[in-house]
Amino acid sequence: MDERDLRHLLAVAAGTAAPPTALSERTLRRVSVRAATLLVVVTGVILGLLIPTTILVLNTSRATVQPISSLPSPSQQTGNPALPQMSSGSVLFRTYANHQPGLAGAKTSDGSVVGYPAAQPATGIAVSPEGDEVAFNETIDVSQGALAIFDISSGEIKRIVSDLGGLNGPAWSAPRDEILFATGRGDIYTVRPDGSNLTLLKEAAGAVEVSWSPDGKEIAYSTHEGDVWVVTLSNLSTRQVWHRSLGFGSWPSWSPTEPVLAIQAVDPESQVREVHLVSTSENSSLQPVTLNVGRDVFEPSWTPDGEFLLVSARTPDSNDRDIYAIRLTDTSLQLVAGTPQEDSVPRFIGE
Amino acid sequence: MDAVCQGMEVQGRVVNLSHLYELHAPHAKRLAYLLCGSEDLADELVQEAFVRVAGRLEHLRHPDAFYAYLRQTIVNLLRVNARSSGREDLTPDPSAAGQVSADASTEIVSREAVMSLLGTLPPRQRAALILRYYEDFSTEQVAAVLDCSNGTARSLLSRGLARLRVDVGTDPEEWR
Repeated sequence: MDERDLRHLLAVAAGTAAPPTALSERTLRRVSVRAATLLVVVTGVILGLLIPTTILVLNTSRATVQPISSLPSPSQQTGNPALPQMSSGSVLFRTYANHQPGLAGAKTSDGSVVGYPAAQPATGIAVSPEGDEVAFNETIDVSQGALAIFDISSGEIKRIVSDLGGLNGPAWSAPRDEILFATGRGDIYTVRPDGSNLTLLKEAAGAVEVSWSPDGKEIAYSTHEGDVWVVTLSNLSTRQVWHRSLGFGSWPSWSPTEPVLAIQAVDPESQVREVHLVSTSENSSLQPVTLNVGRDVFEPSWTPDGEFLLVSARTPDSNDRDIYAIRLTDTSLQLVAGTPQEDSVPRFIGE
Repeated sequence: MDAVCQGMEVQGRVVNLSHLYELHAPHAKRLAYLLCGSEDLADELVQEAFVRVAGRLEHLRHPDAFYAYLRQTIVNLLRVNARSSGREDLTPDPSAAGQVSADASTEIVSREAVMSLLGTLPPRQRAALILRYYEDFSTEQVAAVLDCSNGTARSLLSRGLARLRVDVGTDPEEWR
């Protein structure tokens, strides 16, 4: 390879990057605040005064947002009967609707979408057992995140963890009423929804995405290396259920009805992202099952009846991902909902 | 959007921040994406870098060289991010591999092959190659951005190219 080849390949790779996120009003305000802060500091130095810049720090720990009811519905939803076989409920997902990062909810009955702008870009999402709250990871800065609880009815956002650097996860356990998450360093923690009882479960595990077993006695996590492990909480014993040689594994999601994990993995040869089902049972001889749906699928999560896997996938003739469901009986892929922007990390709300 | 957000007076001129962003963000996003390999992280880097540079626009020695400051800030933020995340290099979170977007499967393969290959390089070698062969920097400019001597920059470039040749072979068509 010569320098000309490298120039060409870099240009090709760079050219396929999506356009930058639009400049939001919030970002513009941050510019103004920063400029004002600098002005205050410079003026203070000149006057020989020590002006604590902390007075300019905005307290955003309890921001209140209102649902948006005017999000445009994607054209591909027109006349979509959604999923008559799926239990009635809603699907919550991450979106960049109206060029703003946030969460959105869609009814499975008709795919209609309601958006909820989050205070900061959300990464992982977990729904409370009652379906009335959402835990999500905010990205505050490139190296700082927070775990926040979003009240769906009031729109109120409350940060419960904000001093552990960047965060991944979360997952919400029904029997334990605890939220599981991982830090950017790969440590695994649990915390109560009110922010109490923050507990380090496993240090330096290299964890990224996490999932609870339905009984709350075990957890699964993917690593930075693409492996997936299961931990029994009673004795913290670990066992590997996915090896990176099978493809880079991520986004484990524990079936609500079977000792099975759904894992997203990149096929080493085809580079297609597929969902694989693996047994979580010790000494299982079951081989992974690949759900081949004919296109890249991302971030699988189960419906409560264990009959569907929600995923995000690219809609044909579209530049963005929308939310789909894989029916396990025939591995058919059905559109659930979407916005004109990138939609990802779907989670089911309902019985 | 209130008035204070839309414009900022800089050395006697009113600068429209939205226009400034539209002018520089697309190229900055592409550079950030090459450097970190993640769409989401690249977006965050560009926004954060824009906030930092635009926030001190009035205090910049050469406000007309906005993109140069933006580029330098993106590189610096990536260094901070790598250190704070406990990783020795700037390789993005592997989960970001699930966040790429492209319009055609051929582009996905090509882009991911390139990004995967770049990810095998040490961070400063990768940054040096991207600055030299994507930004068209001179060796001296690469040294200035990476805060190293010209000799070190030349070494980073030659070692990086040599490593790519070993990893790829002589025919780039093999992995496009």
